[in-house]
Amino acid sequence: MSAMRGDQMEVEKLRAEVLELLCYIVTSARGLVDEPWRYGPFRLIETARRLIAIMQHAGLDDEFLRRVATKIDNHDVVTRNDGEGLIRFLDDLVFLLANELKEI
Amino acid sequence: MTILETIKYRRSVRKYTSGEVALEDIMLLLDAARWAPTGGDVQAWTFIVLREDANIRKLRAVSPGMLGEPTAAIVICTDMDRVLERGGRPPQQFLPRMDTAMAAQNIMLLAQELGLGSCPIGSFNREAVQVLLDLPPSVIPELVISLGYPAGETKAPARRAIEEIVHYERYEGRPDGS
Repeated sequence: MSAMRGDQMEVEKLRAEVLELLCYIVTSARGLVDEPWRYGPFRLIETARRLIAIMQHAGLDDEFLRRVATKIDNHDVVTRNDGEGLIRFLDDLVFLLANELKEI
Repeated sequence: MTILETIKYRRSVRKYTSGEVALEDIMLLLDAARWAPTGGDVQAWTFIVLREDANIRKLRAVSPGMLGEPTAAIVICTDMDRVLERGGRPPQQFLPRMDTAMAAQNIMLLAQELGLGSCPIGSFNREAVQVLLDLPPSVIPELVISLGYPAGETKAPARRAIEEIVHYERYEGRPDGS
């Protein structure tokens, strides 16, 4: 397989993954019009998790992304019926991300 | 395992391994589904089985409630043509939708017994699923069941106490008749 063909396949794979995420975001937006308000954070966190997976598949993986992914994976936002715990989890995540953002 | 244990140990699984679900197991699940109760013997359910990764990914893309990466899925639909033909007048036409829920429970309980994880998903975009699965307009997707081998344990959520949800003989009646 030529390098160019390989690159094109990678681009097509990336496009498919981004399109899947786009569908997820838009169908979530539509669903949230009718769904309980607390589903909003769940959908956004799931969007973040899927975005990280796309970045990792696209070769943008690093220790920071892995940390964020692990943090999300270890916190079961859906089944824990714990509003305060959810707020703490999100605050921690924001703090982590803001510190990374500051460094770029 | 007793039926009660299977019921109590079943969890909505949202993290799966990459292990494929055998077609033989899917067939057992579908057999269990078709033996669910069905109002007026209408049997208006229709099941779409997804096992190909590309198709599951597309379903996952339009199903906000589908978490984790299941390796199979069953979309349970109601065939409204059959409902209109056999399901009685409009007040009775909600029964076939309840039938799909009972079929779903059969699927999930047998999945538990087979060592599979499952999750019932109501948060999916019906129009998008209709397009992706080439469903005729009369076939309405009601529920998606994701399937796969669980990655780890899922904690049991709390349940409301029996005293809180059960009444005897009349609303707020107690078992001792008071």
